[in-house]
Amino acid sequence: MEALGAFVHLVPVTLLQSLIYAFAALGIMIPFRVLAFPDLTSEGSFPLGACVCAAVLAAGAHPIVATAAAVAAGFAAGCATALVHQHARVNTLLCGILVLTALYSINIRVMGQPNIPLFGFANVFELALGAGKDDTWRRIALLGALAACACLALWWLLRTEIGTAMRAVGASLAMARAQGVDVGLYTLWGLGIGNAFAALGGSLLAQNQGFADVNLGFGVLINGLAAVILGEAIVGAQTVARLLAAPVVGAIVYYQVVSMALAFGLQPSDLKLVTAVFVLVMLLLPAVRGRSLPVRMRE
Amino acid sequence: MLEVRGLGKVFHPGTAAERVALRGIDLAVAPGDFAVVIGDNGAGKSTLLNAVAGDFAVETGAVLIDGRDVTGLPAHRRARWVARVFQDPALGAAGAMSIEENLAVAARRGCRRRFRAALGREGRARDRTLLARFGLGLEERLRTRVDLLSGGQRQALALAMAVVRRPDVLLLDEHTAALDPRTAGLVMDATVAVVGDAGLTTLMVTHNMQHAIRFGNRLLMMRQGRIALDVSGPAKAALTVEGLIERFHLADDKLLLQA
Repeated sequence: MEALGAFVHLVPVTLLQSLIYAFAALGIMIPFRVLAFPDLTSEGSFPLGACVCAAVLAAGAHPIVATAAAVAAGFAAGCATALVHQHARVNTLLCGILVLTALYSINIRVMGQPNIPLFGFANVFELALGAGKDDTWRRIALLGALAACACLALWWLLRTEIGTAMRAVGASLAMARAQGVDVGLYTLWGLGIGNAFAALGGSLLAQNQGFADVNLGFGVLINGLAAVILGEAIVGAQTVARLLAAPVVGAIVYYQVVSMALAFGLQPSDLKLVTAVFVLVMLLLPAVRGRSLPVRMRE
Repeated sequence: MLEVRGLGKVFHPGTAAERVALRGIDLAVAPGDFAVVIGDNGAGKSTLLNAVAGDFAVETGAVLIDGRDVTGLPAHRRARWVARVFQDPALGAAGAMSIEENLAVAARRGCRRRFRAALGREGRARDRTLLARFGLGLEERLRTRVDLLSGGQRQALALAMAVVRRPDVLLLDEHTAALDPRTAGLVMDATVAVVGDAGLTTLMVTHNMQHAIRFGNRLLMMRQGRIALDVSGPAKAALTVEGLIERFHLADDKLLLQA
């Protein structure tokens, strides 16, 4: 009962954390699901968002400016991966690894040091919530509203002519090309948007916890993928609305499950192994049932 | 009007696998012509179509559409003028998207895509009218995912996508070869109807000799990367399957079997 009590006590904190990671999960879903491009860049663009945001805040800039700079940096990171893929003809997975490896050094360069404390600087929570900025439930409400806005914006985008063409790129390269869709350009934008969301998550995490660290994104990709897959198991992925709800719902459920497992005695150091096994099992389940793998790949 | 001048293509040049696929093809297809291309396996039929579509760079020669040199343009830019239907029903339409979404993507082929809802009442009305002509009931299933359709239905949809925006050149690459004979007949009838009505300039590759004899107003036979026979008009109409085989000693078992 003690463990259950500890878990229940942590529910709001975990919910707040999961809403931040929901942005990363959204950013992972876009390349994986919309473009069928297994993009690993978010492992680097998530901390990039945190580092850029922290560096710009520490330089005395407005929190909105710092967050926007983080989003722009994430967009650029995604574009870099797409350009490496298209111009160097490097395999999709490998170009993500190349960019995220390079980003580790870049993140330290951006900050000038491996971490930056942000106590005493203004942040988006203070900006939006004023005196109530330290109240967990208010932060949850703010992030929940932000996540809802992000989903709405993407829902609108993916149903426009441009968004439908982007989905066609992921659904069938041959069809997209034959119908005059510039696959390279749409991949560039898609990866840019995905990593912009990952960086937004990183910048919100830095502002929420009051510091940025170059290592803070470790494992965000596989956690995000686990959230996407879990979310799709819960809400499905047949429509654009479900596709977008899945990462958010999945992130919320995933981090509560993790919190519960930790409360009941799972060693935190074993968490990565458990997550990796979970993702593997979820990936293999459809194949065992004779259906195609849920992660479609190009080439 | 499609014009091909001195088109040459070599696959894997300078390697042991080097293969000359096209040896200086000269061809002019007049507006409204329906040219059928036949030939042995490896004769260069599909390579010719893919070269016109812009799937790869060619070694020599040029492709002109309505007098415009498009040789240097990639496939997605040529799509503004060139529409195609592939042999593989899985390629022509995106399985994970609905019928109407596929048609919406096709309807903007060659146009600037906008931040505007892709689906709408006008589009749906256009789709229903277009699909009703195929007689497969697809017009009642606009929201159905394409991967739930049969091969024949998918080819009919691919054909609808090719003509939903009028192309200057229509390329059909054995688009009925993967279908059973009855469905192949249905798709072929639909093809003739849409091509004929719109007077589309069409290049169709087929292995089916009866289709080659029966359809189109021009017949091209390719052999070893060249056009070995080019008949049109009354001479084309007078061709028979037996006559063709006898005259040109077609060695391809596949051609003989289907004849």
